[in-house]
Amino acid sequence: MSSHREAPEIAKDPVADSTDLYAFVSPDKPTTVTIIANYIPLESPDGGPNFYEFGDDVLYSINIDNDGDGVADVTYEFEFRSENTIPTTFLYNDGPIDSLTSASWNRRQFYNVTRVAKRGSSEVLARNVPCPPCNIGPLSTPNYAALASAAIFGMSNGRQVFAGQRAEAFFVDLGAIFELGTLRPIANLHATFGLPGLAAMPGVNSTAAVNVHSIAIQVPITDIAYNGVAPTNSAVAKSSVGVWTTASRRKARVLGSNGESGVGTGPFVQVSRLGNPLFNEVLVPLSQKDKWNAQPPKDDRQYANGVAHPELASLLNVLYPGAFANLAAYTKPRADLEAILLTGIPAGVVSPTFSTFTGNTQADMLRLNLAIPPASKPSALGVLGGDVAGYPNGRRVTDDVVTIELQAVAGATIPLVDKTFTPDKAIADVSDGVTGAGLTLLSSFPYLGTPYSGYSVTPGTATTSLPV
Amino acid sequence: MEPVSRRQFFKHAGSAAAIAVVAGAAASPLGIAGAGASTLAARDHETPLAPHEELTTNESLVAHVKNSRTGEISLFIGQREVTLHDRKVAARLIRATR
Repeated sequence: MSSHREAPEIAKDPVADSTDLYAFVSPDKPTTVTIIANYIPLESPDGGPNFYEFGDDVLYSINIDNDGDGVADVTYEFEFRSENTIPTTFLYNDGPIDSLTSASWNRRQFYNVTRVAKRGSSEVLARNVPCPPCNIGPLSTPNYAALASAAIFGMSNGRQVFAGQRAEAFFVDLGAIFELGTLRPIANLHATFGLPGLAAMPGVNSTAAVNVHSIAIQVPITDIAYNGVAPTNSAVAKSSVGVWTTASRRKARVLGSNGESGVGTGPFVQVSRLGNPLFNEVLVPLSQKDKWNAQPPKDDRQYANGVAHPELASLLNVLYPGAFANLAAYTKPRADLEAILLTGIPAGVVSPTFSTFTGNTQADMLRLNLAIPPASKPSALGVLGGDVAGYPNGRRVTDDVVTIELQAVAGATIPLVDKTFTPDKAIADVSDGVTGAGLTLLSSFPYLGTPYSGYSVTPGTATTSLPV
Repeated sequence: MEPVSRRQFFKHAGSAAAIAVVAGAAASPLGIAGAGASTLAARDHETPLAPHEELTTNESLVAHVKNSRTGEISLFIGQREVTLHDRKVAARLIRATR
């Protein structure tokens, strides 16, 4: 998945598990940037009685590098606390939750937002902001959309924030990809290791009808831009920023006894991070994934070989014999992937004015050119689809990052840097066969859709029996 | 991590025995489970603290003896980690668990 359960240790710690990161110039407020960091993978909407929430003992951070060194110049930190308001009930709520102050709502969560600048100065932007409840059903959380909308919190300088449950917008066919790379649309071409062949078929969206927990923040471009000035020339390096998220836990923790809460002490230690989707998932060896999660982007040079010579690229012609012969014969380092994922794409590669280049420091960051306005007709394939306002220029909630990255790894982007390479014809079919069709999104902040309710989703299926 | 000398450590903590006082006050933050932690001070026949040795905080502290032979101890307090190298302190803490 994008980064859901992508490393052995973080897979056991879902509240700290960064699953997706989005960063884009807000389509309805183009003087602002929206950044969304998702956590808690694959929430089953009916997962009561203890519905999902952020970790009170986790420090969540959204980091922005605006000078290309892979070090955060601006960080937004989020810290949560939970409370029970009805000590006698076993229930999340003992009646309809019709407002964020409802007396029927037992388990609540609040958070603080702090902006930290590189110089070390910090500013608390918000205190004790309420999260909305999880979407339980039409009796417990009636008119959920309005309830969640009330949890959008305005802060100083035009900033706004939201933290709470949202519908998963990432789409992927997990069952196919991790079945030895059996992309269903071209499953008939798979080698199958001598086992009976498989038929081609449409993809299956493994993340349909599940929820996540989102931290979304919308800030003026000047809040994160280099020197605090909104850039206007998209061709220069200082117009692009690098974004990544981290989740950190205290280094020492003593568990309480007799039901007492534990005590966390010592510095926060990073246990999860996410920049480009699928980077740790696909390009980093399993044995290194948890270490990668603990590293800062500025040290990603140590993972550059996995980008220059991706294992998946070498597997494609083995899994689909003969279909990727040109790719198999290409032995040069993948300068296209190094640019896309580690340094940004310099001006002149895609077009004279398009760039996500931030400098020569190799760092996995989601790069966003702040001088490129939102697209009037977005393509889910982003830059591959001729839409320079989409991935890998930032990432919008509608971008089909699985197909984009699969096709890039399969060689679609090599001609950008090496005109001698001819992509294999099979590239056009390289996809997990899943699209974002059917996703219900919002046209304004926080953009991700209303979460699926526990009552309305049929467990074990991707269908809903009632309106969410 | 902040390296700290033994002298600095004692200056901040009052004395090695003062660790035991903090431990007793804060749910075994030394990481020593059971009754051993609460009796550490008694076993060592701790002398009463002088007024200048009294702590003004009840903050939890966790000590992790990483290597008892070299005396490397990590102390976790607040949002800080302090590294101490003191074989005597390490030995004393280890003995207290027996």
